[in-house]
Amino acid sequence: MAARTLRHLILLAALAWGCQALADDGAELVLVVHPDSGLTTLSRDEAINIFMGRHRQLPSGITALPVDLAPARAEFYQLLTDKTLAQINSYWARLVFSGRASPPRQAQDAAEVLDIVANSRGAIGYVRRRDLSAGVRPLVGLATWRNLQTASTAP
Amino acid sequence: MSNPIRSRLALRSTAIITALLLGLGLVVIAITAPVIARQESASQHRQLEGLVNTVEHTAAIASFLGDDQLAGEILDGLSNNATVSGALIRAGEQVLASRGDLGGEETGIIRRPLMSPFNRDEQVGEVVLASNQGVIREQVKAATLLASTLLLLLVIALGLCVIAVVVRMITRPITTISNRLHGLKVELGQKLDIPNGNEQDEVGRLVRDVNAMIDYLVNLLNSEKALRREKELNERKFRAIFENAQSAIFVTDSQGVLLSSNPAFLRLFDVSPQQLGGPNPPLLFDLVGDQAGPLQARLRQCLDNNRGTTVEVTLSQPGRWLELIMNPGGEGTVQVIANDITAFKHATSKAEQKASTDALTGLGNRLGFEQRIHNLLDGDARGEPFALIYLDLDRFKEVNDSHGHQAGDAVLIKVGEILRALARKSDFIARLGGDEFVLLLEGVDREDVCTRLATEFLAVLDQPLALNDTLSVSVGASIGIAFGETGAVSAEAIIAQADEAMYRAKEQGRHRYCIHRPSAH
Repeated sequence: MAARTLRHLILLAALAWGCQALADDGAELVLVVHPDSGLTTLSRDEAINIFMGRHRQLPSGITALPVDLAPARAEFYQLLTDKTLAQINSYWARLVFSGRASPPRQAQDAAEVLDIVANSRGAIGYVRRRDLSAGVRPLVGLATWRNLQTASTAP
Repeated sequence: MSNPIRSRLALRSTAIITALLLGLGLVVIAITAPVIARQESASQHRQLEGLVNTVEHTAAIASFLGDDQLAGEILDGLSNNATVSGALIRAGEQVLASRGDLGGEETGIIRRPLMSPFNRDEQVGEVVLASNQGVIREQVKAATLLASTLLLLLVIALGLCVIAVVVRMITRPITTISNRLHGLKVELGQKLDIPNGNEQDEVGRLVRDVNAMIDYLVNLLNSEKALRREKELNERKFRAIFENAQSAIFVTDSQGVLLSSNPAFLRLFDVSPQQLGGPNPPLLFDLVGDQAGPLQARLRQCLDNNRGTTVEVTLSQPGRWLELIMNPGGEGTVQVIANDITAFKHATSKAEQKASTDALTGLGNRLGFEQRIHNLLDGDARGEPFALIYLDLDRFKEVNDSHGHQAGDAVLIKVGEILRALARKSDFIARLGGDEFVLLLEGVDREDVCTRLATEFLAVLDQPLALNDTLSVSVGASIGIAFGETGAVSAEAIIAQADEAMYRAKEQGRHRYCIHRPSAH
């Protein structure tokens, strides 16, 4: 148990260091919305509710259209929900038959994400900071949540 | 054989053991049934908890998303379970889906809060499961019944085993021994056989003990038999002696009750067997007339001193003498041997009378006189007066010389008759020898009685005595009189005194009397 805890700590430290490095080169994932979405910030819980299909609208009342960046999906959900991609896939698999909730739309690269977000008022997605463009509004860097999480998790 | 339970060891022990085991079983069931019920109940509860565990994650997702479709599917799955009577999934306060009856019974309801799949701290809803208490009760009952049935079967099997063991190990050997004992001819020296296989155990020991006891009893019986035969022989012998004895033999107590007697007794006392065996048998004292008092006193004495004694009893009625030899017979009884000594007594008294009687005159002789006076003086009486008269004939020698001895004898006889006529009946008259006579007058202290007697006698002799038609003779008499009291004087002394007075009368001229006076000395 102690060894496992130690391993987690080392992993977290490595991640923190890595993300810092990424942030430094603009690799940090940043939530982006349409400039007219009415959002200036978004809490982590609100982000989870939207991306995991619970809320169909943005806090501002516009119908939400979440978009996944396929190459960064694992990293994003790890940061957002602290779950592996397999767990997330399993989650969506359970909901296939009910049809009440559906997974976010899949975009193959940052350009596609930026394109969707720039063209839809309710769209919400994530791209690396260095890929940001003028057509979208960056809301919050996920490193912030990670730091929060680290701060709250680490002693 | 009235009650087989009571008469059969195996049945009885079986009944007891079965009753004990049943009681024990019931107690065990009574103790375990609630435990089993509780465990079964808990197990059912655990099962329901398990069900909830299984669906919890999916239910949490359904709650998280508010997906009533998914929630419904989950509840459909749960409702397939027989023990589930109803279920419900809530998202927040809102009921997403519900199935069946949640009922009012709070005891069977499981509530599980549903946490957000992405945030363990956020409750997104809850799942509520109501168990079917009826079904659970049925299952608990079935489980309890099964356990009880198994226990009961175990008890029955155990009871059967005990019966088999008791019959095999105890009842059968005992029955075998008992049957052999019934047919055993102990007097022929037969013994019990030890049942096969029981040589080393308690049954074998029992049989050996019984055999030892048989031996002992047979020996005892034989010696007893020999003793009894000997005793019978002795008894018959003694009985014959008793029955055939000429002496009356009987046993009496101090009250004179006759406890046993022989035929001679009946003859002696002239009692019939019917009388003796009748409802009112005579007492010993009824048979001895006026001797009852003294005889009873002697019986008492014999018992008190615990010493044998001999009594002579006179039966006045038939005029018989009996000699009773009494010996204490223990326990307040007296054994008496009675003999009729009448003939002996008669012979004795006749001989005594003969010895003490003067054959010529029929008066007493010297021996008779001496006995009489000694009897008087040697007795216990004190101060009884008496008088002694000595009498000697005068001129008797002349009668003898001139007329012969026959005439002398006739004179003596005549004198005897005269004296007898003059004296009282109770006075004792004796001829001491030759022409010497003596009179002993008991109870007399008056001189005049004696002097009158002497005077009358002398007066008779004044006339010639007619001996026969042709011959008459004349004799005189010298008389000496003395007085005494019993206990105050000896026989020799009083005889000497009377003799001296008589000689004085002779000296004074004969044919007179003289009285001895103590003052004269």
